Amino acid sequence: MDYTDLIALAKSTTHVGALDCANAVGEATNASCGDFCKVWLKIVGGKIEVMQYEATGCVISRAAAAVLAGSVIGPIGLIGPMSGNHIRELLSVPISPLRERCLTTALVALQNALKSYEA
Amino acid sequence: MNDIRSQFPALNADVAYLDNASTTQICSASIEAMAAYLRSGRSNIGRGLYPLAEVSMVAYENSRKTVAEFIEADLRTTIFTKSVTEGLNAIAFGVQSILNPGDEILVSPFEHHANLLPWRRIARERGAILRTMPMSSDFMLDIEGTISMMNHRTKIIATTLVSNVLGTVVPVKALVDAAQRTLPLNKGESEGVDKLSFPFVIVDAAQAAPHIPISMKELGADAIVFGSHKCYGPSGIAAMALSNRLASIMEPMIVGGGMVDSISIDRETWREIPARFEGGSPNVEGAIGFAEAVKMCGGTESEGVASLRQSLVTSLRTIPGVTVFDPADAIAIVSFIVEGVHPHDVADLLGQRGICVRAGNHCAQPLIERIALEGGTIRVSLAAYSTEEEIQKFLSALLEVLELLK
Repeated sequence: MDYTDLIALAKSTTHVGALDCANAVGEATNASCGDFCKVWLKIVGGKIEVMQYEATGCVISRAAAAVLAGSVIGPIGLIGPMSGNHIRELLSVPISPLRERCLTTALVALQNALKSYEA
Repeated sequence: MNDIRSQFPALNADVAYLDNASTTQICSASIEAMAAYLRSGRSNIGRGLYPLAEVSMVAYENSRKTVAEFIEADLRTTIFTKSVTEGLNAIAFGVQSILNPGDEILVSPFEHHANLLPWRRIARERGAILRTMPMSSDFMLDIEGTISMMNHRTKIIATTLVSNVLGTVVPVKALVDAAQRTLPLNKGESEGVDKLSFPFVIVDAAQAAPHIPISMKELGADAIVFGSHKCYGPSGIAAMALSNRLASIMEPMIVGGGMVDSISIDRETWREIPARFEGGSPNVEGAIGFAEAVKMCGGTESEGVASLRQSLVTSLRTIPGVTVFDPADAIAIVSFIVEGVHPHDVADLLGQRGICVRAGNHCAQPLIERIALEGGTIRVSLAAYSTEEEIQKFLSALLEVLELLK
C-alpha cells in the first residue's frame, strides 16, 4: 500500500454509518489532531460480527478506522491487546511515530466499545 | 542571502526549513562560542574560588549583559531561565500573592499555552478572574475593547508581542499606556509610588525577538520573556527581563542552590536579583550561545522576511480552496487552511518532500477554537535565512500534495 491507497481507504464508505442492531458503542477523540471516531459493534457469542464506524479527521485516522472495520471480525478477546503496531501492519505504509494518536483513534474507540459491552 | 545562509551549517538546498516559529536553526557563531568555552574548561559558577570558576562566571555575566542590551532591559533584573514557559510560570508564581478574590487578569486572545495556563492556574488558586481581551474580525487586538475592560481590579495584563499562529503584532505600548492612564499611580503613597496601583504588563516576546527590535524601556512593560532557540541559538535557555517594581515583589519559584543568602534551621533569606531567580546550576554554555545568537536578530534582514511573507501570501491566495489568515500588521508567520483537507496530512506529505512546516493548534488551542478551525492551520514561518527558492519549493510541493489529497 502507498499513500495514494491510504487516501483511497480514508475515502472508503464501506462500514461507514451507524449500525441499528449494535449492542456495543464506543468513541474516541484525538485532541491534538481533532480526529474523532465512533464505533458500533454487533457482538454475538463473544465474537464481533459487524463493525461500523463514523470518523472525521486526518487521512491516517480515517484509513485506520476503515482497515480496522474490515479486519476485526472475530473473538473480542483479540481486541484488548491490540496497539498501533497492529494498525501499522494492516496499513503497511510507513507512518511516523508522531502520528501515533491518529493511527490509534479508531482502535481506542473500538476498545472503548468493548469496555462498555463488558461493563 | 548566501552570506546569511553560510552562517547556518545545518541549512542545505535539499530541505526547505519553514518551521522557524517553532525553532530556528543554530548559527555558527553560537556553536563556536559554546564549543570554545567547553573546550577550554568549564566550571559551575558562583561557587568555586579558582580561576576557571571566575572565567565561567565572567562569561555567564557577559552573556547576561549582551542579552539585556539586546532588549534594552536592566542588566540587574535580566534573568536566565531554561525556557520561555519556565519564565512565564516563574512570573505567574512569583506575583500570585498580589491577587485577591475578584481581582482580574487580562490575557490576549492570541496566547500560546505558555502565557495562558500559568495565569489560569493562579487565577483558580487565588479566586481571581481570567478575562480574554477581544479580537477584531481581522484578527487584530481590539485595543479599544481591551481598554474598556481595564478597571481597578485589573492586576495583570499578559500578552504576546507577536502571535505564533497568525503573526499578529499586539500593540503592547498602547496597552501599557492605557493601563497607566486608566489606572494612574497613587501618588499619595508614602513611598511615592504604590507598586500595585496599575497592572503589571507581562509580554511573551518569543516570536517577536528574532524579527523586530524590542526595547523594554520604550515599551514600558514589566516583563519581557524570550528564548534562544527561536533566535538562532541553542535550546534550553531563555531570558526574562523584569521591571524593578515587578522584581521587587516577586517570590522565587525555584528554590535551592545558588539563590540563598543565608539559611538557618527555620529561616532563609534570598540573594539579590538576578541570583534570587536562578536557583540551581545555570546553563553557562547555553547563555554563551544565546548571547552570540541575539547578535543575528533584529537587523535589516527583517525587511527581506517581510517581502518573502508578502510573496507567500499572494501566491497562496491563488490556490483554489486555500484561505490565508493575513492580519494587516502580521510578521514572519503565515497560517492557512485548505477546504476539505486536514492540516496534518498536508504537513506530513510536505515533510516527505523535504518541506518542514507545522500544522495543528500550535499550542494555542483557544485561539484556534475562536476562529473555528477544526484541526488547526498549516503554518509557514520564516527566518532571516529563508529564501524565495524555499518558498517556491514549498508552493510547488503544496500543489502536488493537494492534488493527491483532494
